Parts: sequence; C-alpha cells; structure tokens
Amino acid sequence: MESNNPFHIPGKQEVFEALVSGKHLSLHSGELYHYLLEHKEAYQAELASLGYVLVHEQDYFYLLSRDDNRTNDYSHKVLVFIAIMLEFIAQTGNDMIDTLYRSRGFERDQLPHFSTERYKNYMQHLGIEDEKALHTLLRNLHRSGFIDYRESENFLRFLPPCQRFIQLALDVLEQHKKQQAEQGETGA
Amino acid sequence: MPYHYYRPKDKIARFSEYFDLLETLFRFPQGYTEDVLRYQIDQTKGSSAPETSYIFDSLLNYGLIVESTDFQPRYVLGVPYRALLEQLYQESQPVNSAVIQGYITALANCAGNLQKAYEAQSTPLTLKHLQHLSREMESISQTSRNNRLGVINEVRKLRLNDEKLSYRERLAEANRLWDEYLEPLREIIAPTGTFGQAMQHLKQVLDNGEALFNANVELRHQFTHNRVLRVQLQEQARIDLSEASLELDPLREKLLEESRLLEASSLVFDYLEQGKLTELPTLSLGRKLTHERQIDLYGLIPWLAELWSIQNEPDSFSFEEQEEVEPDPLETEALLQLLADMPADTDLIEYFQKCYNNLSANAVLRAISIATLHQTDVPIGVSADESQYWIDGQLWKGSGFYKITDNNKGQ
Repeated sequence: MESNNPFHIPGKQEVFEALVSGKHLSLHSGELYHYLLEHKEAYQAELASLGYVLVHEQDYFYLLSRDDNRTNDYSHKVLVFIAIMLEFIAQTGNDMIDTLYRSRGFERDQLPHFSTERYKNYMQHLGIEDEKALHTLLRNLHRSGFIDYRESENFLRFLPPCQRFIQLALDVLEQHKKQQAEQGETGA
Repeated sequence: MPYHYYRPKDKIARFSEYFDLLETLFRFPQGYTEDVLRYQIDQTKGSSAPETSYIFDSLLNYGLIVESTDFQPRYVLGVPYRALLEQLYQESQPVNSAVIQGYITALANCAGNLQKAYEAQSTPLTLKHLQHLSREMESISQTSRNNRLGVINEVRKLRLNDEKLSYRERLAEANRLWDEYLEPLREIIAPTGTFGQAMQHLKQVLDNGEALFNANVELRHQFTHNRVLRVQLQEQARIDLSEASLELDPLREKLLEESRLLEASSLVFDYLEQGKLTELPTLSLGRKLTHERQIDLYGLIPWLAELWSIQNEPDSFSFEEQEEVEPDPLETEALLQLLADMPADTDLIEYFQKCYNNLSANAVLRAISIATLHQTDVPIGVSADESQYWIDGQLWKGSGFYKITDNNKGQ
C-alpha cells in the first residue's frame, strides 16, 4: 500500500526514469515537474542515498553525479549550437534571451546553422554536416529536455534548461577574462 | 547685428507665422547652413509671402534663429523657442556638464546680487533678485523634469529598437543616456558636488537676508518662497533621478548581460576555429547510473522496492551515437547469465570480482541494482549483518547480497 509505505513519493517511478536517463524536467514536462516541485526535499534525500544530486535551478530539475568530471563532445556540440542561435538572434536586433525562449519557437528549416559558410564550417567541425545529423542532435536535445522538438510540425522551442549552456558560455568568458587579466599583471 | 526690441506678443506672432520652418529646425538641432536655411524658407513659405532674404533677416532680428560661432556658421533655433517646443512636445535635449556649470554660475550670480542688495539695504533690489532667483530655480527644476521625460522617451525607443541597432550599439546608446541624462541629475543632488555647494551657499545667503529683512512682509514671503523652491528643487532632482534610473537601469543591465553573452558566443567560436574546443569545460549530461562510493547500500532497498514494477533498466540514450562503446562486462544480459550460472548461497559482490578483475565500484553497484531488480529470474537475499568489501581500491561497508536457492526463498 502506497499510503503505508514511508518511502512512497508521488510519481517516483516516472520521475526516476526520466532523470536517470538524463532528462531535464521543467515546467514543460508537466506533472513530472510538479511531482518534483511539490516533493523536492523527499526526492533530494532519496536520490542522495543513491549517490545522485538533484539540482533545482530556476525552474528546472536535473541529476548530477558527484565527481563526474568527464568531458563529453555532446556538451560541446550543444554549446556551439546555442552560441550560433544567440549570435543569429543578436544580428536581427531582437532581445537575445527573450527571443531564444519565445513560446512560438522556431521553424526547424529556418534555423541559422547552415545559413552561412561560417556556421556551416562550425557545424562541420562538430561532425554535423547535413540536415540528418542536425536532426539527430535536435532529437537528443529533445530527449534531454533542452528543447521541445516536433519534427513533423517543423517546430522547435528552446526550454529553460538551455540556461545551463548559457551560463557555461558566460563562465568560459569570465575565466578567459580572468586569465587575460592575470597575464596582463604578469607582463606588467 | 543691430539690436532690435520687439514686444513679446510680436515675437510669438512671428514664431507662429513661421512655425513649420522653425519646427523643422527644432528637429534638426545641429542647425542649417545659410544656403540650406534659405532653401528651407523657400520650400515652406506661402505664395504671397515676402522675399526669402526678408524672412531670413526677420527671423534673425526677432531672435527666433541664432547664428552659431562655428567656422562655417550654422543657424539654429533660439534657446527660448527650443525650450518652449521641448515643453510642448515634452521632449528634452540632454543636459551636459556645461549646462550644469551654467546653472551654477547663474545661482552664484543671484547670490552675489542678493549680497550686494543686502549691503545697500535695498528692498526693491532684494525683491528683484529674489524673483530672478525663483525663475532660475524653476528653470533648473524644469530641466530636471525634462531630463526624466527624455530618458523615458529614449528608453522606449531603445526597447522598441525600430532602428534595428545591434546589441553593442544599443548598449552604447544606453550608456550615453546614462552619461548625458542621469549624471547631470546626480550632480544636481550630490551635496558635495559643485552644484550642491552652490545650493548650500545660497541657503546661507537666503538665511542672512531673511534675518535682515524680517520686518518686511513682502520680502519675508519671497524669502520663504525661495527657501521652499530650493528644497523642492533638490527633492525634484532626486525623484527625477530615481525614476529615470528605474527606467534605464533594467534595460542597461539587460543589454550589458546580453552583450556579454554575445561576447561569450564569439569566444566559443574562437576556440572552435583554433581547434581548441576540447579545452572548454563541459556539462555533465546524460545517463548517470554511476553510484559513488559514499552510497549507503541500505538505501537501495526501499528505493528498489518502490521500483519493483520496473522490469528493465530505465531507458537511457547515448549522446555519442557514432561512438563505439566498450561493452560493460556486467551489462544486463551478461549479468543475468552470470547470476543464473553462479552457485547458490554465493555472495554476489565477491563472485563478480572473482569473475572479472578490476571492476569499478560503480560497475559493481550497478550490477547489484540490476540483480535486485530481476529477482523474478534469480532470487537475491540480503544479509542482516554488515559486510565489508574491498572494491577498486576502496573499503566498502554495507549489506551483503547473495543468491539464494529456491528452498530459501522468503527468508
């Protein structure tokens, strides 16, 4: 009986499956997000006993594994993918963040990633040389909860967990500036 | 140019007569050269209007336009008429430090004139200079209000960005607004700034005069009026600065943040172009069935009991789809076969280590999880006593797991 089970947390199985598969759960995830939001402490405690850290940032959740410092190419791909989006939006003169997360989303065939030679080169560097490879990336982004991608509707929308990559880019910039400042001091 | 006196009523009449032309000049604050101005007069005058040269001279004589002192003179709208149109259109030109300095000089002159009037013990002169001082302070107060309106208008334009300015241009524009609109207001309210000191000096002069002419009712009223204006001016400037900041600050911060984001994107591209993308940090993503050594094995039990309905591991996906991954010796299928083959009453962890050298702690714990999940295939027991294991160079303490025979089921 669930009510007699001290370890019962609503939605546990579905939430566990989603989180462990690497999915980020945000408001867009519907009831799974609400299970987590309403029982955050219980989830955090139980997941901690399994060696996970349940992270709640702004309005999304994801799992971290302690001391997991492995690098992965996927992260680099997404970082560049989002950087291209941001630069493209900035060139249109619109607000970058508001436009990126706009609810009406983007049409997949209007994405800028193959629109210029420079962007094409970037994508080729990442091993994404054609629409098929881009589709694979988008599908993975959808499965990990970074975007809502509906291939048949030619639609995609960026979701709040993308903020992780935006913060990563800002961290890279900060680190770069710090190094430059240190080199300047050493030079002086 | 000879001095002409015209009645204010005539000036306003002439201003109204050439309003279209003068309004064009208002929209073009850098002014026109003489040739351009004459062309503009031609374009705007009516068919029965006087000669262009007559109109040109008339505008100059009435002070509706003034000649600049540039190398190539330009003709701009006279200051009072510009102020009037600014007021009517609720527009504002930014007040720079030169304008502030002008106010400081004007206030210092007023204070000096009042001192001289006190020394002469002249009631009419004191009254005259007090009235002049009132107008100066009202004018400064109006400038402060205009500055606030100016900021609000400009911020609105920047938000809409009809001109399709780039991020850096919008940020530069926001910074310019800050420098040209808000810094002067800040200067006005700063008690230690030159303007603040001038106001402090003025307070002293007004206090002295009020004491000197205390018996005169009209002067006493004027002193009180000026003292109130002085306080109101500072309060007005403080409110204007606060409201203008409220309008501009969020936009400026947002532009600054997004400009940094653009810079960060460029930096990412630099790394990519230089073939150094792998030097960038990455986010930890994807499947994480990687329990760490701090895990309490007892913690698995309630968790797995709750998950009993899961017959298979949660679906996970590989981000590196093209990459060939070395198969884990304890992947589900291999593990289930291993469990089926292993003798009963055997400790799982010891057996796994016996079968495979150099298993990581994560691999062992993961295998235990899977084994527990698949009890319908191979029954697993948990020992009540704490067991100790040496896994991957670390000492582990926790429950022992062992394969039980069918006879021992239910224990």
